[in-house]
Amino acid sequence: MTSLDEAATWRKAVAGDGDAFGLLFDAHQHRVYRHALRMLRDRHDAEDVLAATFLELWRRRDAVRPVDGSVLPWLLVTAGNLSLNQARGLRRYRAFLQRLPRSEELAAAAETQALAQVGLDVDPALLAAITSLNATDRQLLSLVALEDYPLRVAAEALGLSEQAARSRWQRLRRRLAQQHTPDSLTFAAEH
Amino acid sequence: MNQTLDPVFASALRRHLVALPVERAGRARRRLAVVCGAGITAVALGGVAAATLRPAAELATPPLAAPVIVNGVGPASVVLPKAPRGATYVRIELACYDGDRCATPGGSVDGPNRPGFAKVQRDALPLTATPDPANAQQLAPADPTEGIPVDVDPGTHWRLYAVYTDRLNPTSAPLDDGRVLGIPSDQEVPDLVPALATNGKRGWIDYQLLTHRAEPTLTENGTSQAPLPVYADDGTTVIGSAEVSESNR
Repeated sequence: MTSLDEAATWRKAVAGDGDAFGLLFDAHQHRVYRHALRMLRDRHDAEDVLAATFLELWRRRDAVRPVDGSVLPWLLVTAGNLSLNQARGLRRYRAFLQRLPRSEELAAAAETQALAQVGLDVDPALLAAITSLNATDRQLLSLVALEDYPLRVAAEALGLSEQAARSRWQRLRRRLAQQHTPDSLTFAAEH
Repeated sequence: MNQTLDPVFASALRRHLVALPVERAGRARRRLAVVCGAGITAVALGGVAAATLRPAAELATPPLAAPVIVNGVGPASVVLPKAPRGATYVRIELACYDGDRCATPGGSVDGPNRPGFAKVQRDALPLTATPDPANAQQLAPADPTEGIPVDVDPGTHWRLYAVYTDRLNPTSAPLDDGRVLGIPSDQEVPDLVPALATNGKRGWIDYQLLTHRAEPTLTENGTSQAPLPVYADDGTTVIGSAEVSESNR
């Protein structure tokens, strides 16, 4: 997305430019897919979340607020919500998702290998901690710990003031420490 | 990472996504065609012929009963009047003015509270068990006289707009000025939606002022907001006002 003016592309998409919407999909599909895959550890489920996330981007286009000119934080937040609430979140699109074609060639072994290659081995304790949090803290932790967003950007994506996000973050750190979650989380948030 | 995303799936999804804005633009062109089409029987714009110039209120799917607008705080169940004959769905707009969760039986809008920024959950609850090929959700039939669940965080201030209709996606129609009136659907959120004025007249109120841009005062039992003007079928003439702050009982 380095050469693409994403904010302008988003405006074009909302105004009816399908190719512009396609460019946004091209730019962010892999990050969104990876985010869902980390949470779900199932390729098909992550594909479903990827599709539903972009469909939600379109359905809720009037409410989407790019952060730092990018819709990616919004996409990641939405993908995180959908990953943790699949049954409800994907119901609207179930019939459509079932119609989308899938390759059969990606064998399970290849999938496992691919997962290992891309470093998706999120600590189970961290995943458990994420799922135990309320919606806002869950998203804050996902954006910062899994997607390496600075706290400032995560705060804006979540509609929080930076001070509020920092306060939540401190509480989160204490809670994670109490839960003996490995402190691999020195995070971009500290920067 | 790239190699793990199924290219067949991604390609099919991309084709669908690219078509979404184009479809919307097509609808906008059809509206424009209606506006520009006075005295013209058919105007081709982007391959779409102009519609006939019947009034929007005649073209739009009518509500089968007066819509219900109620407000509350926290999780609740909203009891509606008995569904009128022919009703197959109750369409719902649930606006949440705070809280992190805003859900109805068919879905939810989750996310942190943003002051002045309402979350709106849109839903259509079937009233019959008859399969509807147009409906992907396959929810169990609802009985609104038993109550529609409002699934929100404790303390969340919300407003529910509910209207009985005979189809999943009611048809909206454009006014001469390009605004659209009708019942909200999965495909279209009209500018004006049906409402009952306090003087008993039926007309149309501004959807945004009812939901996203309402900015009501949040109270102990729900919300407080000045009544909204109710417009005639022309979308302009005020025929009354609608109370939008009644509390759920």
